[in-house]
Parts: sequence; C-alpha cells; structure tokens
Amino acid sequence: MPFVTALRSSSVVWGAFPLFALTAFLVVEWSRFAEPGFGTAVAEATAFPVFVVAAVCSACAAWEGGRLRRGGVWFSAPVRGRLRILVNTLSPVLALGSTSFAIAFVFASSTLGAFPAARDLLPLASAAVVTVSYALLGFCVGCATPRLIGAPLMLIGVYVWMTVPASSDIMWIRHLSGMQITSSSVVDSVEVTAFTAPVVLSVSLALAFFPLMSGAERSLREAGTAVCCGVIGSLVAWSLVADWGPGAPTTPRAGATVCAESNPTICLPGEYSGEVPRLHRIAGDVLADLEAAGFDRPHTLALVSAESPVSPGTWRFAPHPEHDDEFLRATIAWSAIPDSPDCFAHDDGYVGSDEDIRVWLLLLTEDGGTPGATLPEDASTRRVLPVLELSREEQMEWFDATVGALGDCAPTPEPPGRSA
Amino acid sequence: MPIQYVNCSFGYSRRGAVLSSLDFTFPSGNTVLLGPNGAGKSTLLKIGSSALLPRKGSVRLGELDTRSRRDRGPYRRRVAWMPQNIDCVPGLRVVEQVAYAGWLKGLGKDAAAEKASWALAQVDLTHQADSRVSELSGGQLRRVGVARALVHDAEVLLLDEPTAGMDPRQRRVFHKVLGGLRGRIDIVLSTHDVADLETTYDSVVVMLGGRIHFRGDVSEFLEKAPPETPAGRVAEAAYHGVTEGASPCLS
Amino acid sequence: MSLWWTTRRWWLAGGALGLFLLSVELIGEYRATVPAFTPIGSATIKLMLFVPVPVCLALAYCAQRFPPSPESTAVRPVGVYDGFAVVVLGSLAVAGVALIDALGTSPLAWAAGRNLLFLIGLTMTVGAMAGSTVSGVACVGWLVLVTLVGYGNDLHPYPWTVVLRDATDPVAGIATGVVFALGVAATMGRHSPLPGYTGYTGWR
Repeated sequence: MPFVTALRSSSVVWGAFPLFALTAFLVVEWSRFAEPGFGTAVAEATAFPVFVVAAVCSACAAWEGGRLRRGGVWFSAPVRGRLRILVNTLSPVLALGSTSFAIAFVFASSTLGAFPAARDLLPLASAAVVTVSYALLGFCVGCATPRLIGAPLMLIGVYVWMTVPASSDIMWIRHLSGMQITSSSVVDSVEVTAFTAPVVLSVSLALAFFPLMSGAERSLREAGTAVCCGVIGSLVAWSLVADWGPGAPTTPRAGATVCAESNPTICLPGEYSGEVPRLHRIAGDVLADLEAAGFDRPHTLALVSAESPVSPGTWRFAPHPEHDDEFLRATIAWSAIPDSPDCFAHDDGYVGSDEDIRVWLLLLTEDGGTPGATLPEDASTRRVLPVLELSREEQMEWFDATVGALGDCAPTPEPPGRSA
Repeated sequence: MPIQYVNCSFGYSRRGAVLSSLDFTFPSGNTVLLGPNGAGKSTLLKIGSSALLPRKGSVRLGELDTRSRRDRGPYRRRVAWMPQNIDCVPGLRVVEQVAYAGWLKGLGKDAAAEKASWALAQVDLTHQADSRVSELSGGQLRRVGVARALVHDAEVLLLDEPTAGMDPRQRRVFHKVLGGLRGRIDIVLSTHDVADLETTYDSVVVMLGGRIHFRGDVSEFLEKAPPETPAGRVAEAAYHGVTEGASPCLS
Repeated sequence: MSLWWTTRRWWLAGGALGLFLLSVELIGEYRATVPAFTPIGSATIKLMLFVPVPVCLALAYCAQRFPPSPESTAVRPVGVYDGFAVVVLGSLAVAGVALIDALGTSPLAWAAGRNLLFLIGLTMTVGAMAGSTVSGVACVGWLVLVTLVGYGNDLHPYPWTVVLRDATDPVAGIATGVVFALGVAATMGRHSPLPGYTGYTGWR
C-alpha cells in the first residue's frame, strides 16, 4: 500500500494534531527550566515528550493492529512476509513519532538557542527507540485484542508506565520507564546506562509480545523464545539500575571545560565562556578582600563536576550567566569553602552547618561601607557580625575549625565573639 | 398484507439519493426483487424492515406507519428481515444467535428456544446448532440469517440475497421452505439468482437507479425475453430485456 | 432476559466493578508526580484516578456486543435494557464506595465513585455517537488530558476536569450527574432508527 494511502486511512490522522500541539507545548514548558545555549539540554528537551509520543504511537499502532485483525489479513495467505506487512502498517505511526520529535527538536533548539553535537543526541536516540518499541508492542497487543480494548489499554498503560514510576519509592523502577528523570548539566553528563536500560527493557517487552502479531500461526517454540527474551531482557535492564538511588548517576562531562589564563585562571564550560571578563573583574575584588582576611589567593577558579578532583590552589565555584554581580560576588566568596562530604546522607540528625561561615565570607567581601549593610537583617547575620571584631587570626581559626568539623561530619563550632 | 412505500425518499448522505419519491406497494405472495448492484434493493428492504426511516414519506403496513414510535413495535412484530451482511455476536452458539433474534421479536425465552430449533431445522442447520459462528462457512452463515428471519411468525419476510454462497442442494432446500410458506405470508426476496423463477415466485420487481423499473407477475416478466431465447436462459434474457432494453446476443 | 444477559456478557462489567472496588481499597491515597503544564512543570495526582478505566472498557465492550440488524428491528426495547444495566452498574458502584467509606479504609472512595460515574457517562455517550471502539479511547484520553493540562497556576485543578476535584465539590458532582444521565440516555437511544442527519430534501 502506498505510504500516502496508508497514512490517509490510518488512525494517525486523528492523533496527529493534538500530539504535535502537546509536544510543542511540553518542550517549551520543559525548556523554561533548562540551560540556555546547552546542546545536551536541547536533546533532553526534545526527548522529554516521549511519554506522550510513545503512548499515542502505541495506541495508534494497537488500532492498526486491530484493523489488520478485523480485516483477517494474517489469515488471507499473504505473499508478503509478516515483517513487510508490519512495516507497511506501522509506517504512518513511525511517521507520527518522527514528526513529533522533529517538532520538539525545532522548538527546543529555537527556545534554548543551541544545536546539539552528535555525542549529545543519546537522550533523543533512547526516546526514539523506546517509542518504536512501545509502538511495536502496541501493534502486537492490537493484533490479539479488540480495538476497543487494545488502543485505550496501550494509551493509558504506556502513559502511566512512563510517568508514574518517576516518583516511586522503588528506586530502580524510576530508571526503566524511558522518561529521563535526571538532567545533564554543563559539568555533568547523565550516565549512558540511564539511556540504555529503558531501551533494553522496551525492546525485550516488544519481542516478548511479538508472537501475538501472527494470530493463530504462532508456535510454542516461538512463544517460548519470545517470553524468554522478555524475561531475560527485563532482568538485564533491572540489573543495570538495581542499586541506583533517586537520581541517575552522572559522570563529569568530558572535554567541556575551557580555561582562560589570567590571574586567577578561570575555568568554565564552553557554554559559559562569555562570562569570563565579568567573572575576572568581580573575582579581582573578592579575592583581594579574602587575601586581606588571611586566605591564600587561589590560582584557579573552576566550574567543574563535583566528582572531578581539583588540585591544591584551585577553588571550586558555581557561577551562572543569569546571576547578577552581587550573586557572583557571593559565589566566588563561597568558593573559599573546601569540599566536604554530605553529612546528612549518613546522619539525618547531623547538627552541623556551613551557614555561619557563608555569612562571614559575605561580610568579608561585602561591596559596601557598613558591615552587614547589604545583607538581610536576620538571625544569621546578627550571630556572625561580632566575629568581624575579632583578630584576623581568631577569625581564620574559627573558619578552619568549622571547615574541619564539616569534613569530619562533627558538630560545627558556634561563631566566637557572640554575647551570651 | 403488503408493505407500502408512500412518497419515500432516502439517502445515506446529502450528496445523493438512493430512493427518490418512491410510491410503491409490494405485491402479495412471493416477490423477487431484481436489479443491478447499487440499484437500491437493500436500502428498500432495510427501510421496509424499519431499520432505517425514510427521510421523506412513509412506509406502511396497513395502518401501521414506521415513523410512529407507537406503531413501530407492532410493525416489527409482523415484519422479518434478513440483511445482506449477517452480523452475529462473537462467542454465542448458533442456536443462541437465532433464539436471541426471536426473543428480540417478542418471543418468550422458552418459545424463542423452541422456535430457534425449528428455524434451524428449516434451513438444515440442526447439526450446527451448538457450533460457534466463527466455525461456519459463508453459506451456513447465510442460513443462520434465514433462520433468524423465520424464527418468529412474521406476516412479511424481507430477505436480502439469502441464497448467496449456498450450494445447489441448499438452494433447493431453501426454495422448498419458501414453497411451504407460500400463501401464508408475503415474501420479498432480493437475489441475483433467477433460476426457478416460475416455480418459486408470483411477482417480479426490477429496480434501477432507486426507482421501480418493472413490476408485474412472472409471466409478464418472462415475456420480455426474445422469442428465440433457449429454454433455461429465459429469465436471464428477460432480465436483460428489462434492464437494458435489448437482448444480449445468444449463441 | 437471560439471552440478553448472555449476549452482552454483563458479568464482565460486574467483574471489572469488583476489581474497581478492590483497587479503591488497596490503592488508597497513593500519589505520583507526573509532568504537567504548571509553574513547576509537574503535578501530583492520585493513582486512584486510573482505577475506573477497566470498568469503562468492560462496559464499552459489553455494550458493543450486539447484532446490529436484529436489534435495529427489535420489538423489545433493548436500548432501555442497556440503559438500565448502566444505571444498575452505577448504583452498585455507589453502594460499593459507600461501604468502603463506611469502613473508613479509603478516604478517597467517594471521589473514585464519582469519577467512575463521570467516566461511564463519557464512555457511553461517545460510544453511542462515534462507536464503541472510540469510546474507550475517549475515556483514557480524558484522563491523560486532565493530568497534563488540568492544573492551574496555583496547582489546583480546574473545575472542568471533574475527576481531579475533591469528592465534595458541588460543580463536579453536578457535572457527573449530567454526564452520567447523558450516557444513560445515549445508551437507551442508540438503536433508534433516527436519521443520521436532517435536511435532505430528496432533490436530485
């Protein structure tokens, strides 16, 4: 059947417009929280509507399978093989999915102002394969059930499967639905397994249901093989994510950092390289204030992954192009605090905090006359202000003690110089 | 009592009319309804059964008018219809399909079961009573349709191509059934099979383009065939004579 | 009536209703966060939202199990019987959720019951107008739609969603009553030989 005829007579024409509109809206909505100018974010934004695209494609495929079943195609002794008939029947559905993702890509790319590199397309590739797999699964279910049951079952089944597990208390199930729950950042990339595990599961499920496609022709061996594929694939997919936590693990983004040699050297992801002059200007002021307070001047300020070790003399900071100058001053000031473990991960009742030394650093680098004039007048500020009256050595001693306590997950000392 | 169409018009869409201002009454007795595909035969029977209502005009059986909600029940009790496509409910046995049709026509449960068995016997399907419809051949399915029409004691039987797909022996059985009912009820039968015209039917109606093109008794119809037509081909030749205005060249 | 019951297989709808009540009991107040058009990009929905689906699908399946030709010329008012069956199913659902609510084991029982009645009405109305095959899609499509676009900027559901509203919401209650009644009426009238359109004048 020519493609145009298949398209005209398929269920796709009913679902196309709503799906395209929904996809566009979802991508624009997701992009509000995404990193502008970041190619990977474009790919992730494009892949975000997968839960709707896969659900609708699966339902349309189930409808088409039901039409073939009603028309008795499998029992009409066709010359063309099953796969050929399958491809011909599903070509409109695949066109629907492809067009949806193409629309999503256009909107994502234009909203975020970036174009992903080939290596950034993994989220999109995963979403595409998952969509095709669930469409195939839907087709097989549609071949075995009345359209009345198959199409709505696949629509709600795939939709619920892809959306609900993301907030489940069972951690491993969150990572198998095909919806990406952890986003990449300019310094961290989501592990490849987060994309391959849902693909393995969806493909194996589609293979498990394959015998349903051919009606009464299926043999026990074929059915057994299919079930084995499904079970083994599911176990493999589970094993890939079995010990994961609420979010998918990330790895430092390879080759992303570009360093501008200056004093200090400022290392940023390429997407933020336009911020170097501003950061250099602000860092000059802030680091001078910190030097005066007793800190050793760092030779490098770096925005890198938390998992990437930094050399001595390199301070880790977290600027963002949307931060104003005041916030960037704070960010640079706080980079003086060394890395420390997540004490709350081990002890819910941990009674330590870096809040006081953060306020102290802000007070040291304040761009104003009276100390505390630019800070909110709250308990933290009132608690830390008396520290400024101590000698430089006493202040640094308290800072070092606090940092040490944070490193050991021990209770942090009270700010000295507080009135009783 | 025959079915009467009064200024009847009908179309499935706004684009075209299938029946246009038709004033016609079916003759009493056994009537065969002939005509090319798309002439409107099935639509005429459907409207006659009250499955469809005419867009304009009315369909009557005596004082009963299908447009009246109050008349529709009694009308349907007296008219039975076998459609061209036999639609059955999956999963039910053959006897259940026929009994259900009888129950729909107002028979009680036990009466419907009894009449279903009788109707299946009439069409020689007793041995398939407990089979599922998916196990039946096309011809057997048509016989189920005939049985559904026979199950309740209608005064008028409207049968749409009942013998399509039947083998010659089954067609003989079917014509025997019709013969048994002759004189007791009015039968209108749409068919493309013109064999045994003289022995089975009293009247012939030919439809063309939604209109009644010919109406008369069988002998009047057969006179339309050219004189030199060989025996056995007379009905066919008469049909050509009526529909095309000229006899086909016969060798 | 037993022939009508056998043809329709209403016991399937009854079984689905049992499954519904069991699900109401077991799922309780479990919630999940799903993507939605809200200021935070997601919304928290109750999983109870989806438990009416099997009942609606079963009902649509039962309702389409009829031979069109005999029923379109039937003497017995089978459409009325079907409508009555839908009312009985709805009543059993209400009784079931009332019992669960009385037991105090599921605080969302009444909301689930109301949602079931609404979706039954929607399913049967769409089924009578566009065919049973589409009715199931309409039912689940509505659920997908409301989870995506049913929440306002304050993360509260819009009144038109009905199924997302609290059990005591009067507007949702009235809407449910109207839609359910519409569904029953549509079911009763689906064998009526009314013209599919009006206005044809018979002119060639």
